[in-house]
Amino acid sequence: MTSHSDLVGFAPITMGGFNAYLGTLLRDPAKAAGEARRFAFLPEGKHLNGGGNLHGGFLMSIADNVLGFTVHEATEGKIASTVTLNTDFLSGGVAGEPLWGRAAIARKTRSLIFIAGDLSQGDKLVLTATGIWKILGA
Amino acid sequence: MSGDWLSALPATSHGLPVQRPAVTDIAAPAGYSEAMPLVDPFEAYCFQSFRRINADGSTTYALPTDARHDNSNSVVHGGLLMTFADSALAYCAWGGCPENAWCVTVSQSSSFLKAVRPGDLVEVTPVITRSTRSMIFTRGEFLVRGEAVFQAASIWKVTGR
Repeated sequence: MTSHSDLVGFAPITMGGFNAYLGTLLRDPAKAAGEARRFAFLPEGKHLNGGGNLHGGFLMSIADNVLGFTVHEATEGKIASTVTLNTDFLSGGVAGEPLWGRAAIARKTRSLIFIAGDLSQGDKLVLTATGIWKILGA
Repeated sequence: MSGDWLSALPATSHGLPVQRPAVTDIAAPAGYSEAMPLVDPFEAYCFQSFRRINADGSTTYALPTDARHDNSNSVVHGGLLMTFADSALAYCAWGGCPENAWCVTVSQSSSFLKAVRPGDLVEVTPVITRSTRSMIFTRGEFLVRGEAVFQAASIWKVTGR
């Protein structure tokens, strides 16, 4: 199980526009070699759907950011954009509890990055994702 | 400049309270008279969409984008397009749901064909590809000025209310 106290040491990622409108994505500055960087987000009531669960669009937005940020750490400053993102919704998420994210690159070519990741709450997987990013200009 | 669409929103839709939109300072796009009565707080927080019924009975949904949706490089954030897709394909799937049933997204595949710029109007006429007792398959091709910019396919699980 994880809780709010596990967020100690996490730092906000400063982003503008729609990302700032979404809320603050946090990252764990510490990352052991070979391990995925951990991300976290504290969802609120505005991130819910009419059924009281975290909205699928919100979860896909956070997945896009977690996978995208992990991609950008691997592109030596080059900009990459999402070509495709496949998301499966394994269980309902709730507001008020940290949503954890992580991602790992499966393959990197000259112009494409294949990546997989997931979002979880407590010990429950909420979303799994795979995606392809294109390195622009490559 | 919200025009009449804001005051025309019903109090409930699909048995759920309609959320008060956060985006009210936009006009209904030409050809769209009905604002979507959004029941999901997250959708009403992010955008206001509109719909029109076509002569063939299909429904087209429209999303006006603006600076709020910029992902900080003058391109509309993919998360917003995926959220609009989840919304439009949900209303499409609900049309195939039995009475007193509900459906939730099990899976969505999203492809980004071309950058969408803030200010672009995104339009989609989603279709139900297949409907079974427990699952509904939907897909949509999203257009800007008639050109495909994004596509999504979703699988919905039919559940009891």
